[in-house]
Amino acid sequence: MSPLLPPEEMDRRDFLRRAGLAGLGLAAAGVLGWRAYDGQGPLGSGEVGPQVKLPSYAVPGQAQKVALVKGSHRVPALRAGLEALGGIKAFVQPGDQVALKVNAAFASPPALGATTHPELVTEMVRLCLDAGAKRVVVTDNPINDPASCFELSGIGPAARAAGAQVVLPSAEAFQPTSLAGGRLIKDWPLLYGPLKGVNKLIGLAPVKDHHRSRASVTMKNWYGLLGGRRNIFHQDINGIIAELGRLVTPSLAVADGVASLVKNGPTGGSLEDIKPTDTLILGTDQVAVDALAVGLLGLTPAQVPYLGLAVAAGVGALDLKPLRVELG
Amino acid sequence: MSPAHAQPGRSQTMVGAVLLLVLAVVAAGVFWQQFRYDPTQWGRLASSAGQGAGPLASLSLPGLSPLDAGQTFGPDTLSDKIDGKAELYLAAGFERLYARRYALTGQSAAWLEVFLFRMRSAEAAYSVFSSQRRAGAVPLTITQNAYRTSNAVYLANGSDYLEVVASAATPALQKAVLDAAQAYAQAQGVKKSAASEAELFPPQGLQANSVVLLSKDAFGLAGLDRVYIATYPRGPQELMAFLARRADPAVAQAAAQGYVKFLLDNGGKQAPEPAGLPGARLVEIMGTWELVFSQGPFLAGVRGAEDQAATLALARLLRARLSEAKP
Amino acid sequence: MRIVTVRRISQVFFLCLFLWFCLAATLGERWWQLRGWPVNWFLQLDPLTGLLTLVTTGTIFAGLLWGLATLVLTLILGRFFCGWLCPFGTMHQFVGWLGSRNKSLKERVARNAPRRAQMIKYFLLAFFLAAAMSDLLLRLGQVQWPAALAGALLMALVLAATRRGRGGRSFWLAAGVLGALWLGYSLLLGRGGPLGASLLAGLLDPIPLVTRSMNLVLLPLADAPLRLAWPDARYFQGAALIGAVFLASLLLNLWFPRFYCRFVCPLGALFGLLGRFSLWRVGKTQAECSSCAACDAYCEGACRPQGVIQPAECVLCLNCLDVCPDQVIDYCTAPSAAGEQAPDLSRRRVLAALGTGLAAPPLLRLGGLLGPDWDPRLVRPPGALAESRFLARCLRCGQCMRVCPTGVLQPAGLSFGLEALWTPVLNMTIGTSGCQLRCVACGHVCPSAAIRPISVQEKLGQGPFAAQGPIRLGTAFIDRGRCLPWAMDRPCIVCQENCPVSPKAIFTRVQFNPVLPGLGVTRAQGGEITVSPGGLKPGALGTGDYYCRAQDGIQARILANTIDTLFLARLEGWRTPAPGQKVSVLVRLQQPYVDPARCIGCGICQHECPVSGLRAIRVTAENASRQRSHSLLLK
Repeated sequence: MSPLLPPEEMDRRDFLRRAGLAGLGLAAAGVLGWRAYDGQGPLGSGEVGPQVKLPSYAVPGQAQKVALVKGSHRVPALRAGLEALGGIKAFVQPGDQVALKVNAAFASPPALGATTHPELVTEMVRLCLDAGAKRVVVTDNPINDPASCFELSGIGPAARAAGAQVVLPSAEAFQPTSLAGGRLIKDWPLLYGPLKGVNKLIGLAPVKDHHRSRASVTMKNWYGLLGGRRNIFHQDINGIIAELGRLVTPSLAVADGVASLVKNGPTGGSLEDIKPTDTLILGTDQVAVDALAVGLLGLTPAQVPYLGLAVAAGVGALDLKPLRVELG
Repeated sequence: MSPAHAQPGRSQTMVGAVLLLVLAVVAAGVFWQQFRYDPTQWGRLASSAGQGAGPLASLSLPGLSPLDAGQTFGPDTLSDKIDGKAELYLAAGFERLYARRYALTGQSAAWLEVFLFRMRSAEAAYSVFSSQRRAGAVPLTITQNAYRTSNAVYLANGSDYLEVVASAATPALQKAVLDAAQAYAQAQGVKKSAASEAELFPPQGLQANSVVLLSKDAFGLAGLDRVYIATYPRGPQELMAFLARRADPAVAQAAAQGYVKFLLDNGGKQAPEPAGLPGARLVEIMGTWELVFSQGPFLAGVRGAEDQAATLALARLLRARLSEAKP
Repeated sequence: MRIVTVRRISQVFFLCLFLWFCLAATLGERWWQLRGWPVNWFLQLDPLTGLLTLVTTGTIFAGLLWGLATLVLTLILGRFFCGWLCPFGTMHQFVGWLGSRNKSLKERVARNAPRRAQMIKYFLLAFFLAAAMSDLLLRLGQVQWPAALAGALLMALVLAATRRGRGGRSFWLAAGVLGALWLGYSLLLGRGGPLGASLLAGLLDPIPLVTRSMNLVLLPLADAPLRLAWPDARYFQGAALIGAVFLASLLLNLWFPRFYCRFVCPLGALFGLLGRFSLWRVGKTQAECSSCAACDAYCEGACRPQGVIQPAECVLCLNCLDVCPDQVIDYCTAPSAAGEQAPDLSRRRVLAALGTGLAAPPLLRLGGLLGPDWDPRLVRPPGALAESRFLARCLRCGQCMRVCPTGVLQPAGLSFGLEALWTPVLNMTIGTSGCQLRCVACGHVCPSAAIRPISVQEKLGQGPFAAQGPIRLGTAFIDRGRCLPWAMDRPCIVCQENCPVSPKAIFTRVQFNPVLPGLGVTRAQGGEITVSPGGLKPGALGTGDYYCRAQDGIQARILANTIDTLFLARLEGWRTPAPGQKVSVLVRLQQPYVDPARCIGCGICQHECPVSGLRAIRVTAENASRQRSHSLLLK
């Protein structure tokens, strides 16, 4: 600095120099923070398995459609419904590997309607195998102990007798997944093991009342694909159901309302909680299926918040016109 | 400490005020931050789920063989057993669930499960009992509040709520379910019900077993807790009477005013004070009448009727009963 | 409103906030417990922790980003952190105020005059910085030429900053010599050896120091009768040393106010280096004044506001501005009219400090504690990184020990080596239990991820972590010379019963040992056998662990005994011995074994072991997951 300059000029220069330095510091701190920021922390010596992404299981070329069958027996109702949608061959081609996601959440007997009815499982397995499926897997991650759930609900024995492979969840079967743009499903363990190699996914769900979400049908059924401490999602049950709808795109969703659990869901407990509603709904659009199914519980789709969220998220439509079939 | 100091300048005061504001923002930020956390990240110190049937272990059930050693669940693990329904119990005040499965000796396919919910209070037990009451239930006398359905028995006893659920409705299982409930009552002793308020509903025209205790946020109004409701069929429609005991008359009165305000905020229109019910407020909302009043320590009313005369008649009966009640 | 009042309010506010965070760091969800309270905020605001972990690891972990904000603000405002925010500084200022109360103006001026010793803190900073550097140098060294140039330039800049270089020639000469030295050293560095970066700064970094002292000394003392922070009384090994450092640093304020801040604080030194260039600064608006020395008398930073001020030392207490009767002192962008002076850092001393710092970790590691002579007692918490990576991150703040629900986490004492001093180590004896199976709290409070924020799933080796198995802290070893069933024929399976792992990592094998061999039968009838010599302790053999074995080798459990008679539970095949035959009394022992494939080293067995002094089952760090070289089993 030249001593010849007047003091004010010197001050000004000095200030500018310091202001430049502060600006430089700010920029350096910004770059440093941006480059060096590490929100996750270091990894341990072991590596974590990579994230998996669930593919869409929608059958290519299939339009969105839904069938509503009136009938009091599950087997003919399922057959008639599939006929209306173009036959099982429209969904399962020879050589396919099919996964049936049942609801085996509770160790509760079939008569109480809290789980998928074994008759429906048997028939679906048979139809898939008859259509030429190479392999049919039946799976769920139940709420209670898996082995007793599959046995006591009758699903395990029925599926095995029909020729399917029952896969119980094991610790290795779970791999983390994240839903793109999801708020809740982030780095969350997904029951992915049984789905390896599978190219068709069919959801088989009973129609149930639910204490938190009002209704539990095919979309809530995907909850059984989650692992970990999933009950924290009960704090936002409608949000998680809508996200599950985005996460899972099935080939076919089946809602069994031949008898519905209309009260005290999702566990029920008394035979008096069950009402014969004589309806089976199936389709490629899970939102449309659920929207029709909640009618069996005496609800309109507007009364079930998760349906609105799912429509807004583009999972499906509420107003798909069902193909109606009346059985005697 | 300073020996002398000049009067601080205006700029000093201004800067000082801004800095104090910054401190307030920091405090607010810290306060806001403490709400944002995920307790699961610290891990569970001791899981409340466990083996062992607790009080069920000592239950003597002839003709039944246990299928498992029993399970125990706490508030953090209840949903591992009953999933979404856990919220109903947690809201009412849940402490512990003991569950155990039994089969008829020699027939493993014919089984039943006993669920013993230990609730925080007799009131909480009555709340979960009454709000799940099954249609077509047959009342039982095992305890003061008990009924059976074709495959199950449900009862409230003190702060316990018991469910015995069979896998099918066969006569053998129906008997076993009843026996199990009785064995429980014998082992634990019959305790007095919480629902003394339930007896305050006028008996004329009261639908049997229709009294329900809503433990939390009754009628959609947050904070309106511990409300008893009862159903009075009137031809094709139903009237609902409700009452709730509060700490003292002033609290009851404030609660009544709060509920009326809630109705008015949601599109209700206030009608003139009805004759013979001084202090009561009559509100028309969505084509039905709601009558709200406080009587002593009680908040009470009648709701959901299209018929104003029937509403007032029931309200007068209810008020008369409450005025006789012990404060 | 006087600005110093605002400053005092700010100081009290941040001190209270700091104390509140110390209190609230209890695991739990009540409003006075951990919840979401940002209990690490002060540690994160401290840029020295962020800067040094950046140097050691190349990353800034999560909340440590706050430190950058402090740095930038310091460049603009000066050392606001020291005078307005630092809870340790507030404590010093308070004690200093106590010590100055009855001093005359003259004495005050003398105590608050700038001293050469204030440069010590800069040398300490240089030392700590250099001690954290070697990994960074190694990384740079791997790119050879450009790195050598960059390194030389960096060094040259350091030199330029220490004392204004007058001649350009000597500067470039020094840069060239250093560059050459540097290149040679980088080539050598690649060859390995006991090198490594160490975050020694945590020892004197003020925020970790005060956090540690609160967590491990003052809070346990204050909480002993209150039981707010912990349900039981807490003990911390070696707390006396931590307390002594804390107390000494406070008491020194009676000698010189803000002793620690002026002479020791490496964070203050960092702020000083930046504060020198700050946009706003304290200074005189005109050189002439009445020279009353009031400003010098009340100066907290000892920066001589009346004369040629030292902006690097100014802690922005603003007392000068407040007390000046002439109102010639201002906080503004113009430098002081009476002139400014930079810290007088002798180049040789800075170089010496840098050199010692660089040499310190290798010197400390020459002892082999990170190599062949590693200490198996050093059992680290779950999620702790491998030792050298751990030491590159651990701040020694004690937050993990504070939050640990059982108190098993303890500050390592000097016996673990100077480098590990006050870092977390598990002591299975001192707390209320071992490391809890489903607890991962320590990793989630660790501000620098020296203990990784693991999930319970990862700790237990479930779900996506199934392949790598649970996180092992070490392995339990049974000391057969002290174990009751192994050494003393006394039945005990406490360790097996308390093992939380499923299936249990401790299993037992049954062994019958003769405790009274060769007793003669004098009378025998059914299950009653009278033996000689008698002298049995009545009832002592009736615990269910004792058996009577006949000559034919068949044994029966003893139900009860009198002084000379045994009552037996007879089984199939038991033949009552005839009088004159010999029988023995055996004890049935379940001798424990540890399955190293299952043991996670949680230490609960050690905590529960009834041999209450030196336990008969002890966890050491063998097989800990974090250090592959210490594994016991082939994987």
